Amino acid sequence: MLNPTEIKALLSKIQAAKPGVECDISGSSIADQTVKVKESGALDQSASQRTGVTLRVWNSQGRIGVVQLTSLDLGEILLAVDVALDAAPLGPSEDIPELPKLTGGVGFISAESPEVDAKSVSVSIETLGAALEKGVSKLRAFHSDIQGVPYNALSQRRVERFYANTSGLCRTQVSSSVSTYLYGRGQAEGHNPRAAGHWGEEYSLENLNISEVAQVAGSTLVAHLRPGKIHSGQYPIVFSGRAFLDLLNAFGNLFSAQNILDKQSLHSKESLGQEVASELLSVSDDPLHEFNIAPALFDGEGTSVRKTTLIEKGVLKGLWHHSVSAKAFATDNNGHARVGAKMTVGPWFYNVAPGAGLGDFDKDCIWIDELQALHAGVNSLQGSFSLPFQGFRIQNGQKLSLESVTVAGDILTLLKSISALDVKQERASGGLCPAVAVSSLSITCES
Amino acid sequence: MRPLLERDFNTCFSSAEAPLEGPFGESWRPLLSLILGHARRSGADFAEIFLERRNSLRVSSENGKISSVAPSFSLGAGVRCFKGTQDVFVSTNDLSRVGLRWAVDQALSMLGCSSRMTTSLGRDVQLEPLRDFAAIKKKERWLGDAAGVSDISDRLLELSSDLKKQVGHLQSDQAAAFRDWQEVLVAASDGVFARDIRLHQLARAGVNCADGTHRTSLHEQRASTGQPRFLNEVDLSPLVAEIAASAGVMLRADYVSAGQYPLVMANRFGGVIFHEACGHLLETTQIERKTTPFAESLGKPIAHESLTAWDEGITEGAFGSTDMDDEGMPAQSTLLIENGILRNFIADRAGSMRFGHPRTGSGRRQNFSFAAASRMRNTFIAPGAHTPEELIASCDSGLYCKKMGGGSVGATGEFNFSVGEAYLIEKGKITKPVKGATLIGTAVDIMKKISACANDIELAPGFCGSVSGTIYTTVGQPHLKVDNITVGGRA
Repeated sequence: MLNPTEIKALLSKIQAAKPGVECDISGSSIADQTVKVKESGALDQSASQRTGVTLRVWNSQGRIGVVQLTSLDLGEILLAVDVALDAAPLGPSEDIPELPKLTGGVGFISAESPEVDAKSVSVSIETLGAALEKGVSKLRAFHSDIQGVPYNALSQRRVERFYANTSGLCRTQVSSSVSTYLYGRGQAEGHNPRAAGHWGEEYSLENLNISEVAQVAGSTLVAHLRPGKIHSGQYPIVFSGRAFLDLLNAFGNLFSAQNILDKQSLHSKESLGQEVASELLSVSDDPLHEFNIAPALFDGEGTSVRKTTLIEKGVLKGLWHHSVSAKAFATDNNGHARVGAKMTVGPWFYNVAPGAGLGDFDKDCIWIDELQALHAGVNSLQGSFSLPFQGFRIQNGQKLSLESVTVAGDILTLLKSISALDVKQERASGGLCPAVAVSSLSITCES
Repeated sequence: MRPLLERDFNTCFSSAEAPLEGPFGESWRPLLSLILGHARRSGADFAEIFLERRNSLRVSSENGKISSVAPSFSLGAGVRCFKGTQDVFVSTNDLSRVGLRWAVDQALSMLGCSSRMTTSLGRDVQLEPLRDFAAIKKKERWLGDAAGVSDISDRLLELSSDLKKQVGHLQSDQAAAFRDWQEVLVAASDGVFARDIRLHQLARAGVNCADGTHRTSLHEQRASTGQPRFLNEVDLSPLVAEIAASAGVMLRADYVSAGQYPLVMANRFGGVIFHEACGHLLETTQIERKTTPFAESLGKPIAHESLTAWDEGITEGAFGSTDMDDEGMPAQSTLLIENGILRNFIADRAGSMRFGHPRTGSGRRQNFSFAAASRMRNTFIAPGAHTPEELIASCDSGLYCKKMGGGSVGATGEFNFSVGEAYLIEKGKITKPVKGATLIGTAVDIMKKISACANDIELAPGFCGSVSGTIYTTVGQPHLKVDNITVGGRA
C-alpha cells in the first residue's frame, strides 16, 4: 500500500543519496484479479500485482532524462536516476517541462493528498467466478441459436496512483473498479455465424448488474442472427453513442495541443475559435463526471484534472493540454498530461451533449451499433476512415441486420454534416454520447 | 479464500533466497525447485515459472530534432499452475522470495489447492540441466554490443534529413528506433529449465504530406532479431526511397470505388492477410474458444490447392524468430497447409494438453504479466510458379494492393484489412493509384479464392496483438492473386 508518507520518504532518500538532484516520480501500483468462463465451462483465473514508475530527472543545465521501471525499490530508483542523468544531455533540447512547483497562480497544485475512498470491498475470486458463470449462463440461455460466449471476463482492480517531486509536491489516489464483458456467438439456420456483446463497469461487484449486461448482449446478438444484404451506396447514417465516441477517439489528434505543435493534427493553432463541426455538436472532456468510474484526480504532472470544453456549438473552444503545450498556447494547463519520455496528452471522459432528437433519421437510416477494426481502418493524419461495422438497415419500420459491411468517409466532413443528435446519452467506457445522425456516408456491402 | 491481494509474508522460503543480482541461471535453481515442489505437493499437476528481465531503449525524432530518449527496465515473474486441464496464472514484478511465494500461493488458492509448505520443505522438483540458449549462441554480450543512444540519434537525424530531401510536400516527419533486450528463464515441474536472451530492434520512419486539401501519411520500417549491430548497420536508404515514391503517388490519389474486385496482393506485408484470415484460426487457443471453423479440418482441404503455408521460429534474423518459446521449448518449423490441406495447428502446452495437437514451440507472450498462448512466429505463404507480372496480366479489371495496413479477425472468422497503397488494374496493367480501401470477407471463403502464387516471396516484420499480448512476428508471401474480394471504399 502506497501512501504519501512512504512516497515522501522515498524522495527524501533520493535527495540524500543524490544531493541537488531535481526529479519527480509518478506511476501506479495495480492489483487485479480476472476470471473467464471457458467454452468447456471451466474457469480461467488470473491475478497480477504490478508497479509502473516514471522517473524524470533534471540535470544542472535544465535538460531532462526520463526512465521507466517497474519497481519502487530505492536501489533501482537510484540506478535509474543515474541512467536519467546520462540520458538527459542526449534528449530533447527544446520544450522541456519544468519541475512542477508548490507555488500559487495558474495551475496551482495542492500539496494535500486527495483522499478517495476505494468505494468497493474486494471479493474472493470464487465470488467473481460464480457471478460471471451466472452471466454467461444467462446469455447462453437467452436464445436457442446462441452457441457460446467465447469472449467473457469479470475483473476487479485496485489502482494506487501517485505523483511526487523534490519540490515537495506529493499526491496519491486509490481507486477501484469492477468490469465485465460478455461476447456471445450464435448462428441461425441458413445464415453465417454472428457475434455480439455488451460490457459493464462499476465501483464494486455489488453495483454491477451482470444480468443486465447478459440481457443486452443476448438481445443484441439475436437481432443480428438473420442478416441481409443491401446495395452499396450513399445512405443516411446514425452512429450509436458508443460508435461515435470510438470514432471521435480514433481521431484524438483533433483535440491534442501536442499533436498540433508537432504538426500531426488535422487542426492547427488557427482552428481555435473556428467552426469545425455542425452547430449541433458540443463536446467536453469531463473527468470527474459521476459516470466516470475510478477517475484520475491528477494527471502525469500532478496537475488537477478539470472539465474542458472542446467544441461548443460547432466551434473549437479548447484542447487537451499539459504544462508545455499550455505555455506554447498561452493558456491554462487543464491537466491532461501523460508522462513518458515525451509528454503527450489524452482524454479522460468525453461528454457529448444531447440534442433535440433524431427526427426522421430513426425511420430511414443505416444504424451503426459498433465500429470495428479502428486500429486498421482509420488514417488519423489523413482524416479518412473505412471501417467494418455491426449495424442495421432501418427502413419503413423494418430493422435488417447487415453483415460484411463497411462505412467510409472523412472525419472533418462528417463533423460538419451532423444533422441531429438524440435526446438521450449512451454511457460508454470512454464517456457519454447520444446517437449522432449524419446526412450521408458511403456504405459498402458484400454482394 | 483470502481477499484481493492481501499479502502473506510467510517466510518459509528463507532457506532459498531469490538471487536477484546477476543473470538468470543456475543460481535460481534452488528457489525455483522449491517453489515448483511446493506447488506439486499442494495439489497442482503441473507448475511453471517464467522469469523475465527487460532493458529497452527507444529514441524518437520529429522534424529533424530528437524528441525523446526513453530507457526502461522491468523485472517480473509469471506463475502458471494446472490441475487437470484447469489452469490459473498469477504475475508479479516482485521477484523476492516473498513476492514469488505470494504468487504461487495465490495461484494454488485460485486452483482450489491448499498451500502445504509452512513446516516442512519436502522434496524439490528435480530440474533438468539448464538449457542455456544465451550461452550456447553466445548472446551474453548482445546488450553491450547494441547501438547506444548517440549512434541511434545520429541515424535518426540522418534519416530525417534524407526524408526532407526526398519527400515532396512534406508537412512533418517522424523517425524512431528501439532495441528491446529480454532475458527469460523458464522452470517447470516436468523438469524444464531453460534460459534465453532475445534482442529485437526496429527502425521506423513516417511522413505526413499535405498540398492544399490533399493529405497523405505513410510509414516504413525495418527490424531484426538477434543482430546486435542492426541499428548501426542497416541500410535505411531503400526505406526513404520507398516512402518518397509512395508519398508522391498517394498524395493526390482518388478514393477507391467500393465493390467486388479480383485482386493481386504484393509480397512482404501482404502476408498479413494470411496471418489474420487464417493463421489466427489455426491457433489452439481458437479451438478452445470454438471460434475457428477449422477445428475438425486436420487432413482436409481448407484452402485452394495452390496454397502452402508455414509458421516457424528459425529464420535467422526474422522478427518472429526465437531459439525457444516462452514455455522453454526449442523453436521449430511447422507446416500449416500443404497444397490446400490442413496439416498442423499452432499449439502451446495448454493447447496440446487439451486437444492433443503436438506442441510446436509456439507458446508466446508479451511479457511476464501474460500467460503463454499459442501464437504465430514467422508465418508465410510458400512461393508458387508464376511471376508477379503474370498475375497482374491475368486481371482484366482489378485492384493491386502494394502495401497493406493492419487488420483483424473476429469471433466468427470475419476479417478486415486496410490497404495503405493500392492501384487499379485495367486490362492487365497497373494504372492509377487509389486510397481508402478496406478488404473484408470471411476466412473460409478467402482461403479458397487465393488461386495463384508468384515466385517472389519476401518477409516483413510486424506486431501481433492477441490473447497473450503484443508480440513480434513476421508475415510474408509472394505476390498472389485473389479471384474475388469485397473492397470497402467510397460508393
